[in-house]
Amino acid sequence: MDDTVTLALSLRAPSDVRGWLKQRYVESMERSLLDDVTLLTSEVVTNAVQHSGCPEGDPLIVRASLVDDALRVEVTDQGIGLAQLTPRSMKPPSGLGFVHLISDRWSSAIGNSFHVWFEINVVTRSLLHRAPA
Amino acid sequence: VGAELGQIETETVGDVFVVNLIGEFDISNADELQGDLERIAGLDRGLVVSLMRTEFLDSHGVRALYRAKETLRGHHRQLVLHVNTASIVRRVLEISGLATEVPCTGVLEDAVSIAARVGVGQ
Repeated sequence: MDDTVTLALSLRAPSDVRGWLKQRYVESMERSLLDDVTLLTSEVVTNAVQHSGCPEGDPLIVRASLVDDALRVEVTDQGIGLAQLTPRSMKPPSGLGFVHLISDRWSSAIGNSFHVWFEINVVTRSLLHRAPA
Repeated sequence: VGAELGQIETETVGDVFVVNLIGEFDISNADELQGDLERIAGLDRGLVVSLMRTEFLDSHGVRALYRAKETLRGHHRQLVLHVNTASIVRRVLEISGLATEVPCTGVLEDAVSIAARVGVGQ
């Protein structure tokens, strides 16, 4: 599993990424895991829409992959980002607050673009239970 | 964008407003949701927010519910949530802590009955 989609930065991007995740994984991923991945990915994409400073229509790249026994989602925008990304609020949780509460690991990285990623520990078998043996 | 994703329908049951959130609620319709809930919560009547037909609710929606809860508290009332026990929405409510701070029930009649009470502290 290693899938990538490029979205256009806009208020529609969170909905677009939720639709992509549903279409791509509804048949192969456990429902509760897909729910969590959908919520967190939507929140990270929303964060990019709100804070990247990039113009509408800029590319927003979402990659979902399996890394060992973890499902990793990485969202890349073309903004300058922040050296240390932290949730704005934990009560009630902000978008990154939910990422912090639900994921097993998350962080951000600045390079030529800005990356925010999170990982959820999974049992590979449950992720790929419909895959051919 | 927002109107395509989610619809907000309000009805009255006795003296209680029941606000049905239908579809998906995220940043694209967050202002509309927060505005509607704030306005209705300020009317000094009971408020049930029904999430039975809500397919998605993000942190903006949770924040709007918290604000409505605080507004109602100022009127000595409490927000009541009508919600399924197993759904992505329930998961969001539980992770945020809201599910333990306000009454949640899957039975609308119970939700309305609880919301009708005045003088309930939270």
